[in-house]
Amino acid sequence: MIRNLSSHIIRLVLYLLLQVLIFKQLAFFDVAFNFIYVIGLLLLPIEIGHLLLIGVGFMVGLSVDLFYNTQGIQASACVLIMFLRPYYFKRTTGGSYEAGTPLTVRGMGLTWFLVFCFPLILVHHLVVFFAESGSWSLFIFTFSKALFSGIFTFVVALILQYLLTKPTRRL
Amino acid sequence: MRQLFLFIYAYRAFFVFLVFEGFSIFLIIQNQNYHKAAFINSSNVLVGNIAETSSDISDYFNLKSQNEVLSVEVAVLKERIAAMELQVEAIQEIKDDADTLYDFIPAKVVYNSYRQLNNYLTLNKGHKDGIKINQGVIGADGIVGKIRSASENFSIVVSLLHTDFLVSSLHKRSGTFCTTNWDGRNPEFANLIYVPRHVFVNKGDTVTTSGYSSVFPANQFIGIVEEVNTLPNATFHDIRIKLATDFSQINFVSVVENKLSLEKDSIEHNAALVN
Repeated sequence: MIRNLSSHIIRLVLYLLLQVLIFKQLAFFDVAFNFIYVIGLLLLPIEIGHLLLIGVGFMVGLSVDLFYNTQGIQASACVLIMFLRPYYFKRTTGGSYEAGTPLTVRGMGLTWFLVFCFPLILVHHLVVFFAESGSWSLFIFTFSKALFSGIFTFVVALILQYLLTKPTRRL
Repeated sequence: MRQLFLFIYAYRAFFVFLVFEGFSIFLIIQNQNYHKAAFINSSNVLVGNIAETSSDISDYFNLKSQNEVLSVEVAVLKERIAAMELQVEAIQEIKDDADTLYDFIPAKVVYNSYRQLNNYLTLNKGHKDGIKINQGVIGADGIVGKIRSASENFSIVVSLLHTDFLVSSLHKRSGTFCTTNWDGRNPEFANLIYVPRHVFVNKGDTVTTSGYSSVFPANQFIGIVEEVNTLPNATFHDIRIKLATDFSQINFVSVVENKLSLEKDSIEHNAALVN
């Protein structure tokens, strides 16, 4: 059973609105874009089943596609990272995950957050930008867009994490 | 059979992944052809309304600069009216013909992108207001794009900043027919292609629409030549033009309805000039 189901749904919707209303307008030097909503997907509670996770990824990706007029591109990237997430999560925690620990920087630690989120963000961005360009002809340009956007997304995610999550009380 | 089901069950996540990923890829491929309307786009009611509300709010922050742009435009138009009044009498006789050729439908941009590789705009006018597919869209400074699909109240514009969009253009000074295309990098610049190397092109030359296609009327401003590079063994010049339209500032546009486009296209089609 997933605790606080409604709060997870609300958080995901807020990430979506933040993405399409604010972060869609942001870009640094025409190479760094922000897809902050990916963090909303990555940090969904670990109790969610794999199939549901892929379905949620598809729906969320498709809703972002609606606003970007990029039919299917975000959806395919989200489905891919949602498919990879459980396997990669097991790898990064090495089975030492304590059920119920919230997936936040404060709950899991900065190192885990970096090791878990950044590669998945990068995979998502690579899929998005290469699917958008549709060829390998602008390889360096497209790759640098994905890399800088990945860093941009990750840094904003980190700032939001520290701003919006409550410090956990440790015993 | 039971073995097969067990196998599928054991790897169900992978199969579900394949189904969703396959469907997404189908959607992407279906969208490759930019002439065809996408079925997932921002002209539906929910997305259109969210976009319109967001644009209504952000409009307040742009009021000052918009006012300046409008007042400059009013001044330019006043000047042109004064100049034209002198000519009006001379062309009174042919005016009736010219009047019936084009209709302009004013529209507001509710959603705009200019940093993606293929950009689109959403307008707050649709079928209801007479918007049809393939009509040209013109801003205050120059051309913006053409209508790709329209719903009841909203329509999607393929921006000039779309890597597949080719605009039939005219190098004004030499009268050379050429094509404008965006390369996907900087939203301020586009490439002018198919200008033969015997044509002299200088920095600062004007590029306008040719009027050969029925999307845009002739003589609509596209941009000015910024840089000319000619490789020693190339057939055509390598020309970069600065676009007249500032895509980060578009707010109000006009959609051009060419009343004779159907007749023009059908006669060209019948004569097998276009395929």
